[in-house]
Amino acid sequence: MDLLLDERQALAQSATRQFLAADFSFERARRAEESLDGFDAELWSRVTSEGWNAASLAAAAGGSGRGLADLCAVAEELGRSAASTPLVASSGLAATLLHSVPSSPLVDQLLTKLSTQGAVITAALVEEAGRDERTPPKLVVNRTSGGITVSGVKLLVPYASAADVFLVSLSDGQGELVIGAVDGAAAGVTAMRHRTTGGDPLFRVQFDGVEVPEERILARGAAATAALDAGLDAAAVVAMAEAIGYCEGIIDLTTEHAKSREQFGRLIGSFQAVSHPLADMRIRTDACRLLMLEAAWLIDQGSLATLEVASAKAFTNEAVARTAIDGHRLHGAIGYSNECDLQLLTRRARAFCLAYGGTDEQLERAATALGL
Amino acid sequence: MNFEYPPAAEQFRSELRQFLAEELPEWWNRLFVDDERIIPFTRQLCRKMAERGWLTAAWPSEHGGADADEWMQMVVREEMWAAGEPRGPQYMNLNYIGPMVMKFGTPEQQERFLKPMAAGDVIWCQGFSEPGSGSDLASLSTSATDGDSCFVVNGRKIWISYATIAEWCLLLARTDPDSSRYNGLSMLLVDMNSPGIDVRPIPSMVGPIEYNEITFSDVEVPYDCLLGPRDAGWSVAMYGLTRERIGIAFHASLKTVFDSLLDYVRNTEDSTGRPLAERPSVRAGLARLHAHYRAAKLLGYRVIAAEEAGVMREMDPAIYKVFATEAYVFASEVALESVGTKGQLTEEDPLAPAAGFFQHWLHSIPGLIGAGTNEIQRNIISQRGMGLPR
Repeated sequence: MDLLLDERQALAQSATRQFLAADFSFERARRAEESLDGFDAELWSRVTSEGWNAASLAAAAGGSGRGLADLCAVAEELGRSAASTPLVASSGLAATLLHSVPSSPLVDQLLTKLSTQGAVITAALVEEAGRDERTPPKLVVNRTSGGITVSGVKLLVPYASAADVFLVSLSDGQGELVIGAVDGAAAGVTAMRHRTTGGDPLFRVQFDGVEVPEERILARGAAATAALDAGLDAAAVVAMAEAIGYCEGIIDLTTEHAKSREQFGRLIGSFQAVSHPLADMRIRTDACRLLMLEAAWLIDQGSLATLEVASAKAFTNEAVARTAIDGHRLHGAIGYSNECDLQLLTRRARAFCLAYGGTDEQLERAATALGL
Repeated sequence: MNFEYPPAAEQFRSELRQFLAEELPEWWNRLFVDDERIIPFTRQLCRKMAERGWLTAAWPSEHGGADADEWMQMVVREEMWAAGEPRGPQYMNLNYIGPMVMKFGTPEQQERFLKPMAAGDVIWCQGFSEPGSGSDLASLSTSATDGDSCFVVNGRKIWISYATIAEWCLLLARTDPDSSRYNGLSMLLVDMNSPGIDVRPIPSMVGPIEYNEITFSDVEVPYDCLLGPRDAGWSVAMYGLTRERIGIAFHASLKTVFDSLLDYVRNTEDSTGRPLAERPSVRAGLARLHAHYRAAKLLGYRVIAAEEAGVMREMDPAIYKVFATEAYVFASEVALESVGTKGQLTEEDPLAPAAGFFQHWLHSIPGLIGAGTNEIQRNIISQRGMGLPR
């Protein structure tokens, strides 16, 4: 039993921290957020050139075969700087989904692109009529002679403007799930950026009679459902790692504030009304990290980890939301000013709680996994 | 990284469970119950465990142990707390009093005090808190002055578990009368049969003999019962307290509540005739508890893993203690709310629905206080761990 990061994971984490500290300040996160497409291509190319985006992929697919836990070690560091990358969407969700669907030349090709060329592959799942990523899609496939066409709208699609490929959830019209791979450059695809509280790039993507040849249908029915489930679980775990990074960033900023701000003639960190909530942030964040790593490790072992992922995501949602609010309480008014970096982290943190399984959804999944 | 519990320790866990299934009598419920059969039974069980080499398995063989690792020790801790701690008061010997003697004791003290602990033959109590010194332990005033070739102890110690039955007391006293705070304290090993010791039980909501006050009136303590350096006993005490914080497997108690609750909601209907297991708040409560259980357990395991790797932070045991004790309170509250009005009945009442939830709630409270209150733990975490100013 060894609950600490191994040498390789710790190395990847400290390397990420070093290059972020040198080149990627909060200023960079601000600029990305305010840019047109929200995509920091330079940062992503640094991440992919180190091969960190492919940590969870097998060597045959161009990855290092190290596992989700390695990916999480890097994701946490990125989160600490509020750096937004397609790591959750592409390396977490898409890579795992592609790993889980029946193998084909296209799947191999997509995985190789994802791992060696830093391709952004992003899943288009949420619909106007549906609640979240797991709601069965209503977007129906239209059969043609050579395959299908897709027409309709998907919401909250991460990094759509930079996407090389969309993995689109569809209905076959008889209640079966179909997952199709739509080329990002295909005719009839338009992406429009949402305004989001988290500030990370999410898009409304419109598909107008987009053709999907038969060989680009990745999975149907139970195989599609299982692959999507695996992808969403992996995404939740990598997103947890990022969110733990947000919390570490919030703790750093708040500790610094408490150690330098004076009121009533004392450093405010000497008041237990300040220091104890900070201790609670430390306790909570450590608890979240162990649950996240346990879930990542179980997935890497090939275990079914629905209970562990679902309950950990719910726990982390509640813990992260609390840490964000406590960070603000302890900062006072300066914390919500735009000049303060805290709000970058806390907005991102609160958005995390809603993505890839909100608290209610994950508690219900966990209860079902408990046999209730 | 490896989250698999060591297989050898898991094997040992099954043996231990088998042993407990055979040894625990029908009437056994848990340690903190008003029943005079309990203490004699715990002594008997400790001796049996000692015969099998299980009681102090994680101790070095030279001190009567089996050189097993901390994972083995954690198995003992978890299985015992899940079963209501049938080792009785002796868990304290194994977790921290013995290790303190190993670290700070002379060879003669080790020979004299560790053997009986390893044999399961002795009950110790801990004399730290005083009527005027609770969280502010360093303000304590019980004195140990120099008499004719011995210390002479005067003062009062309070909230002492098991003092009515203990043979020995681990006592923190002020040996330098001119000292204050952390300086001038010493750790003494006091024979509870010494003349001048008076023990007064303090009836409490967690049991009739659980807490006591000890008055020391000119109690003579031989010089060879000084543990560690004279006037520098604070660090000796802190070493023990740090170990004490992970000494109780609160997460195992929590798991007991979780398991009983899971069983209860599967077999009980709500007021509308719907199975409780279908009620959303009950489902959410159990899901939350499962995450809290795993987080508490893993925080405890991390202390061991970090210690093995030589990277344990001073705040790690404090983090476990705060999280696990508060998660145990949370579990008993979720359980009580799920039971509803009949949850008011104590387990002595034959009509009590799911046995023991109220008792778990009662017994979860001292966890928040003992071994340094959770507020003191938060001071340790924020000041010593996070560098916040005092």
